Amino acid sequence: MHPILAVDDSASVRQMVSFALRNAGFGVVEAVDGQDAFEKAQGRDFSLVLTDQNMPRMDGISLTKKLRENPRFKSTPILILSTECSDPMKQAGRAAGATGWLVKPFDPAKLVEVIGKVIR
Amino acid sequence: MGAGGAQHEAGLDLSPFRQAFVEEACENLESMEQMLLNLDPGSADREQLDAIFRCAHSVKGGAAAFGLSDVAELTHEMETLLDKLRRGERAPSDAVVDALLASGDALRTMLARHPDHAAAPIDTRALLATIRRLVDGWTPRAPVAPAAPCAAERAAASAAQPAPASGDAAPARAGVPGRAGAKGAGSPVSGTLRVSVEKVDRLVDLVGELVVTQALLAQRGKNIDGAQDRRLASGLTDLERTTRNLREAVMSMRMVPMSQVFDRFPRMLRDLAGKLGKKVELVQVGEATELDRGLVEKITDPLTHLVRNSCDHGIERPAERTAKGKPETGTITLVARRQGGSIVIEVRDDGRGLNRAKLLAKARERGLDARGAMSDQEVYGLIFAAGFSTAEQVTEVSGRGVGMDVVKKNVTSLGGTVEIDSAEGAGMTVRVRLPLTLAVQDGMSVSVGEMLGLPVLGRHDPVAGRRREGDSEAS
Repeated sequence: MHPILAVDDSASVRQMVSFALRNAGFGVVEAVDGQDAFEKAQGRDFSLVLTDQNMPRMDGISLTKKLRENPRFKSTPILILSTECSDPMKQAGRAAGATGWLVKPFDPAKLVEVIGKVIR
Repeated sequence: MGAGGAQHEAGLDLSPFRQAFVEEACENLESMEQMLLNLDPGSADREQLDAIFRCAHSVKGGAAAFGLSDVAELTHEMETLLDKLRRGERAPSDAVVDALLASGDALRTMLARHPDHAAAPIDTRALLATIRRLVDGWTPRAPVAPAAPCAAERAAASAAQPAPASGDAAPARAGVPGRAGAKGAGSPVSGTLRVSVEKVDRLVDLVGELVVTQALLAQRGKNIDGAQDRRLASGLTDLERTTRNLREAVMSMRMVPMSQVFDRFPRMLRDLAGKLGKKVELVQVGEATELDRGLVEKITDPLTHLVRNSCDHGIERPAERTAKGKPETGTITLVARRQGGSIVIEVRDDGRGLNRAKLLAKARERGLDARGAMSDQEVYGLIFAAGFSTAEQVTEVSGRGVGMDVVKKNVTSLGGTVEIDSAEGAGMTVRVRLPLTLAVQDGMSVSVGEMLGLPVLGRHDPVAGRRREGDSEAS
């Protein structure tokens, strides 16, 4: 199975997410912001993208939009994990092509459960 | 999710990540404070406000993820205010900066409580209300005093914080340059490594032992017949060179920029000058100058005292300054520079300076040995005498039982010196000179029946006439 691309500009959050995912048996590639994630996604397949929304250089919604332009990412699940939970923001996420919107705080065990369901 | 995120624990130990978050958040708060202090409310640009917003946002995101609901709540309000500012819907003002600085202080206190909730929760209701009113467009007539936690709490918070303290798990700030801007610049690989101070100190200890062993071998090696055992002799020479290089490399790991000490002063002076009704500008020179981390910790308190002293006793009130024909705003200049094996730190002010006659009179009153024939330097030196104070009234600021005598004692205990230059009416300069490092010092080995090592720094020249060949050698 392809790894999961975990994107967050906060090192501690990113590491915690990766830790939980790896612990559940997923492969993980980390990216520090949308731009980094976009570059890492070139020429490589991921089974899922889990991204923060507000990041320097490129935010989660822009990343989603750009990834969806690439045929390789046409049907890859993209989940946005954010503290933002306003409806307009969620709609913007959906319009950009995000599969789902998860609101922080999150329980790592639940996160793994959700991701397991989305991937399978 | 409950505060502290106990539910997170189900089967996974997330505490290292939470600890990492606390450190990351403290760094973000430090950057935010620096940027706020550099912000000119009249001419703030979008980029600056974006960068400050990002700091608050990062803290909020992590706090939410780790279930620190109090931190998330306060940062959320800050973010709302900062968002309005960067969109131009609200104008930055001193009141806004004050509220954001106070929020930073409160957050530090909150973060210091986590994860073990050691201290009582802090009350942020007034602060939250202030921010919400600012969001709604409220403009106070007079600058608001910092809303909630004050300097004392801030000190307590930073003492309890894992990051800058000298405790076991305190991370060394290796590769500090660019720390503040690193995040905004979006450089994914910083090229620095966080290593615990404990590990670096262990390395320094080991190198110290190696230096001693190498010196001992070199001493013994002097008697080796070079022609007979050339390889051993050249090996000893290599060992000496490598040991010296290794020592320098390891010591450089402990070097941190002076800005680690200086950075605390803009905020402190801002609060202090406000309290005293004075106008003070702080100028820093040579803040990139590096010195040993161990010294940074020990020099902070004496320097803090000197800066407070300058603001309290040196700089005059605006009216007095204007009457003297000086600019209304006083200037305190912090200077750091390397000079040979020493670092020189100066605290300069353009205040009233020292009054020779007053000092002499005071000294006599205190029963100190003070003669009219003393040089200016000697007279100025009197302020370092225990219990000596020329302040007519003991103020809240300087009257804390820590006097210039303690400053001098602390600096001397570090192998340093303090001297004063002053011109009455024009200001004063206190010059602290310190050895660059505490850990390994060059020594002079002296043989008087048995071998002794004397540190070279701070020793007077040996009496040349008494030295005979073989009795004394520099190591």
